[in-house]
Amino acid sequence: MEIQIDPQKRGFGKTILVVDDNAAIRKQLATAFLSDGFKTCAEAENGQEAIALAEQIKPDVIVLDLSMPVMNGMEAAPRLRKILPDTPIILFTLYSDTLSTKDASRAGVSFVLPKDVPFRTLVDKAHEWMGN
Amino acid sequence: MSNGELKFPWQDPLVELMLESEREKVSEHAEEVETVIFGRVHQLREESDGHRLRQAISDALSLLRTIKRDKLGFPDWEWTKMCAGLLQCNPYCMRGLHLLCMGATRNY
Repeated sequence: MEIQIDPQKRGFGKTILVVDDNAAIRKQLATAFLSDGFKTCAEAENGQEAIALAEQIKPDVIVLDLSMPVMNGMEAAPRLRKILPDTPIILFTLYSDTLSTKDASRAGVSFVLPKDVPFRTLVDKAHEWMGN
Repeated sequence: MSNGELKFPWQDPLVELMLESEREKVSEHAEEVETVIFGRVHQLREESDGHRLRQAISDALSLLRTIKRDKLGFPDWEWTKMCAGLLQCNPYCMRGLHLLCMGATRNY
């Protein structure tokens, strides 16, 4: 998804990769980031697709679900980290309480955020990790 | 459910999910349940019976995780952690290459 954006917005020109097997959730996340000025929101349904897309588009930030078919977020994170050593990877999950910060960090995740936080918090965290 | 009772209307799709055996429909119901839960957790702060709702959501998520793993073959992250942690192998866990992972996934 790509749209024309107000250059005053924080996300102007940025690309995000949203990885979630749930289409409705992907759509809501895309709306939140595109409304914030992001130029492009690429979407993947699982970790394997995310790796292929990340190699192509080199996103500025990645929002990654944990529970996915084929390859889950904890499997995908270290591989994404290898491809994009400096790109923030936010693990956005309903299962944040099942993971320790240490495990997530070791897998290459920059930050774990529970899915019950407002979208605004997620977008703010993305900017924080991108250094905006 | 904690006490076997349905307390919230959003739990209906969860029951349909539990009763479904056809893989494609399990997948559809699982996505529906997850979408409903995702919507509900955002309203938690406004609920007067937040504790009961939180417990019901926690139960539902646990059940959803089990169904996705056992009926749909989703790779569970506990295996990922075990593989990377216990075997002291490449931290970039390659599921399917390790004995532990192969054991965990042999039913797929």
